[in-house]
Amino acid sequence: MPRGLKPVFFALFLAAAVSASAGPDDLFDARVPGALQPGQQETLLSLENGRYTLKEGRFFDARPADPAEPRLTKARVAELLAGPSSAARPDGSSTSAAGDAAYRRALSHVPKGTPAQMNFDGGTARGGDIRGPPGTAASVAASAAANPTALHVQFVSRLVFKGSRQEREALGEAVGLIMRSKTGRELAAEFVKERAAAEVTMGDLNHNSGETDTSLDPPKVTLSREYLGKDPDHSRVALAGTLAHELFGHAFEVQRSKKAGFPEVAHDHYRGDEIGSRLIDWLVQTELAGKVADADPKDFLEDPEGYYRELLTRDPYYILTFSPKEMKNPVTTLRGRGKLIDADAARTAAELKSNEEWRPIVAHFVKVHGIAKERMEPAEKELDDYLKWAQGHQSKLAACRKALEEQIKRWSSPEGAKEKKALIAAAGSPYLNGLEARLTVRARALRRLRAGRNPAAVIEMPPLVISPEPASGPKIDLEEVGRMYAEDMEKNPGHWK
Amino acid sequence: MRRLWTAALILMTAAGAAAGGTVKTKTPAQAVAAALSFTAPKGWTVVEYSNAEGADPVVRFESLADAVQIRLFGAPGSDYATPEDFLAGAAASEQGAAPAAAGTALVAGRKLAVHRRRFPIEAADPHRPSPGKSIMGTEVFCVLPLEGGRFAVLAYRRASPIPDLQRKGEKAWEAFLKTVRPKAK
Repeated sequence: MPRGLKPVFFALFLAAAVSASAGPDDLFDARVPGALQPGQQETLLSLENGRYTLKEGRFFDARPADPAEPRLTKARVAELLAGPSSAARPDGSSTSAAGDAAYRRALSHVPKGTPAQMNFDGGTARGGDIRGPPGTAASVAASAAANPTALHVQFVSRLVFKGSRQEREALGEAVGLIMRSKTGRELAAEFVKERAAAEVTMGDLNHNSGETDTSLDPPKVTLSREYLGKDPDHSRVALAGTLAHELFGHAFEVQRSKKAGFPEVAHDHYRGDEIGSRLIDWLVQTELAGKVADADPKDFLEDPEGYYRELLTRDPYYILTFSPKEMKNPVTTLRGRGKLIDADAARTAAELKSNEEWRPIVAHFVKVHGIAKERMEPAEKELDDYLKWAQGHQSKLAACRKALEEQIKRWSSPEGAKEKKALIAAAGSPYLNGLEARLTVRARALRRLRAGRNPAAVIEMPPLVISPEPASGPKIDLEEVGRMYAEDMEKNPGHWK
Repeated sequence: MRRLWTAALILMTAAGAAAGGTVKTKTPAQAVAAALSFTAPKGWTVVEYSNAEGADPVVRFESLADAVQIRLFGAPGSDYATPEDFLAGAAASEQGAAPAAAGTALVAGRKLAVHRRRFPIEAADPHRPSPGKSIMGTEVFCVLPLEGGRFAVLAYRRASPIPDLQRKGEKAWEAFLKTVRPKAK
């Protein structure tokens, strides 16, 4: 095959995989339009001296790993087309010359010079199982870096794409972008190795960029359709980041936690679930574009523990999340958080009072000093914006308090005792320690990428919009009003009696 | 009358020793107290934690929207090895831009540059895109070099865009700076 056509065929294969996607563990059906590209059927039939046969659209394995199910799954077919290790013989017999030739044909879409194997740590893969022998994270990453193309095929084979053609194409492109990032490739390799799976689609989400229904098997990842209507330059990388967030941070992690026997309640209340997922998103976006298109990770990077603390009173979800240490004493921890809500409520109430004290001061400079009212617009807008935010924040605090009280009540009752016990037992589990370690490694990696010396740290800021000055003079913000007030107090104390 | 923060820390250390038998690891407040002496604003709530797996302790005194904060950096494993790293990093920037110069302050006989930056008063939700515009508070800070390559970042934070008519926080910050003294090892 001419080398120039190889990427085309690879793209066609991926497109077929995306469009004909029905689930990695589902049976492969050659009758589905686009399921196989020209020559691929012959390739499969020629492997290992005719080990695989075709009947009514299904491929049958003469030496299946599970004798009860000789038919090939979609994942297995993708694996056979992807590389020789995937077709390695479980009995260890040598590959025939014809078989070798068939491998070479099957691998015609793999770029020249790329080691054609998906064996993550150099061992022999087991027939009928796409996982290689247990390996370290480093060996998984090394193999992923060495063979990204085959990895891409295998990763796509673990996903079910649903939605309109435009949506599936956007999602397929997002997967392609993920595979161009180091973090994305490493996690895709782990995803494949652990036989994780997910359904991926787009939907109308309420101001949310993505969400994952982890109660389904496989989990269902939904990304916002709003990405399709946005500026492609902005949204392509942001979509890839969000997909990585949902797919690896939530869909993959929940499957990993189930395998490890980590209780669902602990997963739901672990504070690193969201941050860990967002770190993946931030890393993927930064590795792809040198910046994060839809949010700035600096809130987290500048003071990670302080950020966790601030999140607590931001939303009823976060007030019920724990660090591993806090998870050991969940009810005591939650009782202590009542004080956090009290302090935040007192602060907000005091600032609302202060907000109202500034209105007559602003009005004073208009009425008494003759400053044009239009010049005071910035100061008045700051007061209005804060008022609106503070009122919304008070509602959130009320919701946080309600959630806190309900959770304390539940975990203090006999009905919630089992759940609380499971949470406490999970606090020191190896799985949770592993999660924390992964989060720490990613936070360090992001900090390195964002370090001042690295060009990736340069964050493009939107251009500053400066409205024209009114003819009456420069506009005045609240800080300036503060200076004017202090000066007027000194010069005209009679104004303020 | 202001209470002496270091004295309180000694009591906290003693209480910890009495409760647990021995004190194996310094709390963030103890780590800060070992590096600096200072008088905390009276009646303010103390918050302490650390970052970088304990390498970077933080002690903060809070009163409503005002906070006086001490952060130590430069120890092995610190997020910021040098003051230059800190000033080029996330914790010193305002939305990616360098902090503004805001004069100088005399701390422990040293004239330190004061920097000013704004910060969002509400942490960005990690599950949603950041809002286009956040309500911003203000932070002023200075970097005090300590022995052994460590350094302290002393800051006054006001988590509100609304200036305080009484300037209580600013007055507390100014008084606090006058009491700060590095401790020799």
